[in-house]
Amino acid sequence: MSKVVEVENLVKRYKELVALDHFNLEIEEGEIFGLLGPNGSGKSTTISCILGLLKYDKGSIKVFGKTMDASSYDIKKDIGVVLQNVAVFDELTVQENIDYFCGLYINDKALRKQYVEEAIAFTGLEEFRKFQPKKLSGGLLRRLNIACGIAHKPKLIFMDEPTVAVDPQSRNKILEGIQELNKNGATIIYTSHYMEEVEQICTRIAIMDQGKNLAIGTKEQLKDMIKTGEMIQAEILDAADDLIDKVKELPHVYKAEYVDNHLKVHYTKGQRNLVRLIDFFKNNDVSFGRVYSELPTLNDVFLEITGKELRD
Amino acid sequence: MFWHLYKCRVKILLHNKYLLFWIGVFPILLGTFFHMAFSEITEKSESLETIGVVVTTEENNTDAEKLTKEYEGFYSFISTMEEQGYFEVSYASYEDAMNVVSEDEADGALVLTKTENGIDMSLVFAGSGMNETILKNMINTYKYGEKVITEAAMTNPAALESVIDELYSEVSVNKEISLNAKNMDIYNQYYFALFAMTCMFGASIGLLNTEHCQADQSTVAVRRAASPTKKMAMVLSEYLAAVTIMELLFVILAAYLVLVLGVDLGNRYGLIALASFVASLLGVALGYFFGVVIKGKQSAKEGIQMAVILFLNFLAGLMVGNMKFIIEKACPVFNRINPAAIISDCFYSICAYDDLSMYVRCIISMGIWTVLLATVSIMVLRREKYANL
Ligand SMILES: Nc1ncnc2c1ncn2[C@@H]1O[C@H](COP(=O)(O)OP(=O)(O)OP(=O)(O)O)[C@@H](O)[C@H]1O
Ligand SMILES: [Mg+2]
Repeated sequence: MSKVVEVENLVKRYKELVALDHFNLEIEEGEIFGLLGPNGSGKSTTISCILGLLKYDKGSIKVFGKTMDASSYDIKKDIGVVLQNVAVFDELTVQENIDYFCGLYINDKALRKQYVEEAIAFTGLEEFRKFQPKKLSGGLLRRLNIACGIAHKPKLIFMDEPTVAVDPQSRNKILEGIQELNKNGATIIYTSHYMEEVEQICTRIAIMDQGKNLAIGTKEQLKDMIKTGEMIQAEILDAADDLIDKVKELPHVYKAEYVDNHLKVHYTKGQRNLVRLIDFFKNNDVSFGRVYSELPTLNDVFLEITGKELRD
Repeated sequence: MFWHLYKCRVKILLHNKYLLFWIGVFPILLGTFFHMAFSEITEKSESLETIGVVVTTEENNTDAEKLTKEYEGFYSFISTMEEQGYFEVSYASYEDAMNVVSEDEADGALVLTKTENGIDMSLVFAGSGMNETILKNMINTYKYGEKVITEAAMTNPAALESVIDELYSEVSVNKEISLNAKNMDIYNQYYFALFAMTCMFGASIGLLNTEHCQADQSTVAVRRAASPTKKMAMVLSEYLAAVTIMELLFVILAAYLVLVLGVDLGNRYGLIALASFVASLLGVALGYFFGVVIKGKQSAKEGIQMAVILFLNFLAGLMVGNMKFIIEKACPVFNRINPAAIISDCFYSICAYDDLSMYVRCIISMGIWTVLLATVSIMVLRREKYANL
């Protein structure tokens, strides 16, 4: 597998504000790479730098193994962008917009026509092809924004929070679409501050905050980095303090608490925790209701790495 | 690629209601308004009566009529005016003539004086109305012509006839301007000022084009900058598209004036077309220039640009009639460099002068301005990396 994007020690300042602070990133061909970070962490700035649109202070950027610059037209022709802010012409219809942006990449008229049709079908905009963007709902507009970015069948696609302000149904359609694009051979860089999305579709994830790349890996690898393992909750009507103390003695438990008729047991890593806890209840004649286990989320990972919640 | 960009830009501009209103609809409304205002004026002047002229002389014992007939040129002028029904000519002694004028039985008295090489004439009025003004203009025209005739007669008698012909044709043009109520020529300068203003408004298109070309100004510009399309191709194709739209709107405006309102713009359509083309190039380039030199948000740029353009238009007399003449006296250089003044001079010269020297000078000035503004704009627009997005 070859490296599609290589970013080394990238530093970008907006006046005093350091938006990217010695940022490093490598993306392999065929990945759906997630760039996860809270608002203002520098995701969009990273993308603009990689696209060669933004001046940066230090560092180097390579795309498809070649140094990326504003005039790297041979690289740009294989890239697609779906920006965080919708970028379409209000004066053109859905179809005209897609045709316009596709035409910046594809000269051949017949081929372009075919590509535009495919993009319209891909984003499910068939009924709306004659609509002006102003007449589209938020979700449809996002889909148009995507169609404009991918119609020319790029090998590398940047998607900067394409699902912001989209209802769950449209969001799922978009996520499925992204996976399909990936199956068809495109490498995708996907930014978001929704960890669920990133968990759902990304093959590898970088967690960034304040312009730094804090952790990188598959979601399993990321979760392995932190000491928290699963958390088991059990509905118990009445738990004595000594019971809780006994729970704390069990293997791998590092914290146990009783809140609102729920016993919450936090584990470090370890196997068979649930079975062991249920056995413990039986042996001690504790009557319990529902018991369920929660695995750590990326939010937990983020919390542990940065000391703050991912969501604001 | 170039034509793809060009075609799409034409489409985009044609769908921009704001631009279409200010550059397309607004001048048409203004033109209609002019037309209505002028029709009212001319309706009033249609009630003009024939101008009463009493010819007399201060020379003692001389009959004014006999004196008049001695000077063939003057006599045929007077007779022609009478035949055409513009003048009602009578002859009287000096005293009687003054009485006639003071009692308002005639609009003016034409007092003839014999001189060494002909006659001199002066006008005596009682009032200062429209009739008096026209009479004065006619006599001045004749006086000017007479001098030429005399000069020609002395230096080149053979050419005399053609000189007289020419002068008469000039007088008759003048007659029409002043007297024929159906003819709108005298108001043409307003329509030509309207053309100038429309071309200046082309700056709005240029400004919009720069917004879509600078990645720190709009999201579509970011998307375009991320594509492999060369900036130069974008700028040139879209500049051309802007000028195309300008020409289209201009043709519609002119056609509306001529075909719908029946305005007589003369027959120098070629000159008008060339002027509108070069002026559109300049107007659009002005917008590009504002788009790249003013920093800040698009709305701020629009505001500043509009203010500057209206100010230049104001100084060029496109809003208050005699502003340009005030500047012409105080600081004539400014009228030579103010783009609005150059454009309006260019159009004005088409309707005012047969001679093309002013027209040519204006076309060249506009060309120089366009090259300057466009060069600066292209240099800035070619930049492809931004400090902020
Ligand atoms: N044009 C700019 N001028 C000054 N500061 C900027 C500019 N653009 C971004 N910043 C700052 O740089 C930092 C990184 O911004 P960036 O837009 O890259 O974040 P992000 O991760 O994309 O955030 P979001 O999730 O809100 O899109 C933020 O602190 C932001 O305020
Ligand atoms: Mg962002």
